[in-house]
Amino acid sequence: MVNHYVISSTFGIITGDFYMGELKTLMENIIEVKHLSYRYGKEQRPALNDVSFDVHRGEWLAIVGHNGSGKSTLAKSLDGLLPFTEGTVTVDGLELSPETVWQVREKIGMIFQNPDNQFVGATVEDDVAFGLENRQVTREDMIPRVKAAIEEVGMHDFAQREPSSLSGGQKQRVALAGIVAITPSILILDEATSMLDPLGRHEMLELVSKLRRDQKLTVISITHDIDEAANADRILVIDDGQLVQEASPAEIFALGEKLVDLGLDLPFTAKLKAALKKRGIEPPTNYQTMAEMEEWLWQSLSNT
Amino acid sequence: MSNFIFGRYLPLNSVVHRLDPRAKLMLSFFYIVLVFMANNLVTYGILIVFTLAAIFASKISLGFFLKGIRPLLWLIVFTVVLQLLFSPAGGHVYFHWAFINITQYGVVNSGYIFIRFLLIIMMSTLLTLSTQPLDIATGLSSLMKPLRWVHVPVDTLAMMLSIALRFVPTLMDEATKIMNAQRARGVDFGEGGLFKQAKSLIPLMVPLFMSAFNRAEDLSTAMEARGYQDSEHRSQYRILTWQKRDTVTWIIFIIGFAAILAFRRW
Repeated sequence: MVNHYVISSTFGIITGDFYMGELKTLMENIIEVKHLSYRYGKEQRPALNDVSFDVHRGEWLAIVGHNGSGKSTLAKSLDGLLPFTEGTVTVDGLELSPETVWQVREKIGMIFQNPDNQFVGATVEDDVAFGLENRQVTREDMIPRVKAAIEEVGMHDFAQREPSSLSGGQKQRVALAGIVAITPSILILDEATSMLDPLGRHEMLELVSKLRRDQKLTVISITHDIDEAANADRILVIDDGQLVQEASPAEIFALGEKLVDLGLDLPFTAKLKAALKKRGIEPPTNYQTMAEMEEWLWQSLSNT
Repeated sequence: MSNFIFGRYLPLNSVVHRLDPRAKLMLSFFYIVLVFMANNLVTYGILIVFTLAAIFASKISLGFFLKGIRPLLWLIVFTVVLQLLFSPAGGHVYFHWAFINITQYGVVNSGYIFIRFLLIIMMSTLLTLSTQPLDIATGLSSLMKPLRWVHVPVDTLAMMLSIALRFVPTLMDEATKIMNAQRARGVDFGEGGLFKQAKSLIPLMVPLFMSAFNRAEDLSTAMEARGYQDSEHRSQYRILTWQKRDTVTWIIFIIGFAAILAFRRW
């Protein structure tokens, strides 16, 4: 199990790099956010303060930050779920407004934190069909699309099951199937893996990587999880409602222990480096994958 | 809670289970009409045979039905005794004291009331034991569709009912978790007098309500993100199809209805 985990997470990073190369040739923006501000009720401090950034078509963008930094508010603003006061959001050439909000939601699939609180249907099938029913797809069209979506996420043996008999990870996979069925171009994960166990989290991320390749999705993930952030092509750091940093995973992870200040859990390699430093061993400071770290460890061991 | 049979579903594969929920709902109402039309030994005999045949066809053991009757036993006994003691004079008087009359008429009538109760409870238990709550909800909303013409929001009601049913197990789990957490903090549930018991429910109900409201908020956001605007402009994935066996069951019921009309005392 452990070995499998190491291999596939390295694999994820390699494919991530591959997409980076492909992207540089066509850097079309699918989402443009300009001077976005949002304030909850009558609160003094804005939850979002003049945030501007672009999301490129086909990329995997991670947004990290502390609890209460405004990252979930940002995600909800992109889908028109919170009526922001200032700024503009343009999704696939369409400026978000009360008139266009339903058209924008056609293009965005969103997965939330709590697996239970987004499961609407009485069974897996019914839940996957929910989005299609809302779009008034005919039943003849729905049946094959629901079936295909359930198969895409590997839940075909559970199609008739009720949510109470599924694990959190399985419910999130059903949520993904619901999004696959409506074929959007953007997937937003709003801390979608934070309530899952390590295995469920890992399976979910593998599935998202696969779907991204198969369906040519642009992925925006709001996260605390280091593996999820490592899958990204680009990371935005948000703090106190403001965008404070934009960098590649390699640059961000080179920060070592400072990652905690950004609202991320330390990756295993960074924890290992810190432990080695304490014992007077100086590891390389640049970011390394699990495999690179293993290589370096073997080399330094054979040198001594 | 666990020995409360009425309102539970028993997953089995039988003809009765496979019947269209709309047919089962309508037939259950029709059956109640039949029960009230019967008024002599022959007609009640027909109904008893009828009911036992339906139970046999459902493959559910008779024990479940007897258990279903138990919580309602006191209500039945009370009604029967009332009927026995206070029915109007008629036929032979067996016992007379002050305002209490036990007459032949009263004995026969209370016997009928007893059988009526038994039959209706058995048939409605059969309905819930053989039909999933969700199917009952779908069936009900489908039967209520004509009410659209008088502007009853049938689709919204159906959506509410289906979401409520879907969240029953979730909230039950949550209640168990909260109870355990509060027990660990020294709360005694189900002990002491009535007042104390009611008071011990407060540390359960407050967190449960808070979490239910949070869930509702999350759910409405998720539904909106998935394109839900209103209940009227949606297509339906789950539909009910009227099968041959539904028609056949109706025919059997109508024959039963004719038999009761023929044999009842007019």
